[in-house]
Amino acid sequence: MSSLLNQLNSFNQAMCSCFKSLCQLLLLLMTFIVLAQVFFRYGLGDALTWSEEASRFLMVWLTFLASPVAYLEKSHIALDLISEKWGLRIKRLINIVLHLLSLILIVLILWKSSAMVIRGFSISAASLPIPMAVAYAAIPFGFLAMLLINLQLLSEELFGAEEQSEI
Amino acid sequence: MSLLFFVLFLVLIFLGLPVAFALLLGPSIALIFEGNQVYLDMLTLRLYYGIDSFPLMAVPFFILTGELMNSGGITLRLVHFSQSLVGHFRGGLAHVNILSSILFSGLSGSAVADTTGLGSMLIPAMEKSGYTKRFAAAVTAASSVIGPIIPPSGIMILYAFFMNVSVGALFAAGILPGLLIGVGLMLVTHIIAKKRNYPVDREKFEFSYVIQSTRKAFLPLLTPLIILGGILLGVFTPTEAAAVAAGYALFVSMFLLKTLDVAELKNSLFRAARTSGIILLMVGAALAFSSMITLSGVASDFASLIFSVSENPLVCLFLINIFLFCVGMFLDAGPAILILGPILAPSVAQLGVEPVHFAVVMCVNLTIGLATPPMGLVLFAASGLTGEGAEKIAWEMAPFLLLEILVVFLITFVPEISLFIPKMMGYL
Repeated sequence: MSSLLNQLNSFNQAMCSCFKSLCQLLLLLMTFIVLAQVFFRYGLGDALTWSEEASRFLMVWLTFLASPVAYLEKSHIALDLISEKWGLRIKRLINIVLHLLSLILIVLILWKSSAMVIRGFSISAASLPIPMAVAYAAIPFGFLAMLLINLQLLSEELFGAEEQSEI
Repeated sequence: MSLLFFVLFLVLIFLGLPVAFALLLGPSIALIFEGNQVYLDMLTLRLYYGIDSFPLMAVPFFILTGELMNSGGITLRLVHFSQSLVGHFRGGLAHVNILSSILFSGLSGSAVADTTGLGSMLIPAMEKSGYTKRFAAAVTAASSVIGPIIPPSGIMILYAFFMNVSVGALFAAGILPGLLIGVGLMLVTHIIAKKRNYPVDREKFEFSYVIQSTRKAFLPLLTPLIILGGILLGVFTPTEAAAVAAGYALFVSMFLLKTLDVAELKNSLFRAARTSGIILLMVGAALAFSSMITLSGVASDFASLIFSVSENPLVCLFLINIFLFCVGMFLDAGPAILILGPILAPSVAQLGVEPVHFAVVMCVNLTIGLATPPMGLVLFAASGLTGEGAEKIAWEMAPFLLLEILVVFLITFVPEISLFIPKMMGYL
């Protein structure tokens, strides 16, 4: 069980560091595309037709690649009102409940957004020669990554509890 | 449609679920419970189209600009420039801290970047000159809230995007309130510095030093002019202006001033991407959530609740300010705007309050909440920098906070402070 968990942890680590590099690349690319848009309009007097849509799609992918990384780092914005003063056990119990609730949401969004991607194959993008599915796919992709991370965080919380009680 | 989704949402965020998740899960559970399959399908579509937006792209670009400008050398140049102007006042470094915040707010749209960037430089310097750590942290935190008020501003882009207000008008409207807070903070600092006999930073005002430091800070200080000039003159859309600012920041810091190397560029890109991802996911989720607000009629319920207390716009605005201040104590400005904007803005519009005016009041009010306990990002950042407890810093900050609250009421009841520049620019 714990070796499986270790494998999951190291896979998530590798996945997130890969996402990190992709995020850097996407943000730089977005910046240059919009700069090119300005340059073509003013410099060359010839507005680009594809730049807006391309940069938007990159931003969608950026969001769903950065979100799993932020999830692993626990840096998504949340209230932190339930302090450890209430007892570690209560804190841990609430964390487990929160991870389970997140799991429900992640599975739900994964399911609904996959259906959206399938429908998206028959919708073509406005200016790029690709189907909308390419952009829609960012959501299930990101949530799949978050599913793996959620399983890691959840099992860490459960596992940690066992270690605690042994001591 | 019942209010179940809203109640669930509140329970979830108070339990500590990330706001972005709670915004999606609250409605999802409610919809499953009510057997409303159609809206459930709509939720992911709204999530997607909440993010797939060109105007919204200004957010990551402005965050990137702030990150690039924040790395090392440029902050130092701004601080030197401030020192040359206000360093000779009593409590010199405290004034420098505030003026640097004002200047830096034209480069970045977030308060936390301000606290960490300026704080890590100025707090140790202030300590060395004999200020208490606590006071140094308090001044840094209190002045950081100017960041999102003076344009460019991340939260104003969010507000404009969500509530269909012009970004240009909002940016123009934020200038005077931001400066007002800056000047007010300097007055409070002046009084405290006199009383506690804080040292001056420079013996006297030297014009030659002003010229010298202006020359060094000139290129970074050009950024707000490019952004504002570009938007207000209609040369760029706000998103394009943000990209130009990011490109300019990259060019200046990497090639002209050489304050940024490749490793630091990568770090800045990632930090900007992560912050953007966190915000954008929340925006998408909030857009899905806000369609539930529209469908369920929460907004009109809220409006009638307010009108039942009073129909006098001034009284209502007063009460809304108190309410927002309480919310701001717990919630960051961004999520608070995303959640409450769709509820409050229509109600207030019914009272005949100019939307741009209310937008500024709401943004300023919630921004100040960033520096208030028990939950305040800026306060936590200052506490993290100094190791002083957040509560202790908050007490030390009390006179500054009082001043800021005073300014909120001033701009609430004197709309011209916000509306003067937008009117002059022809937005209203």
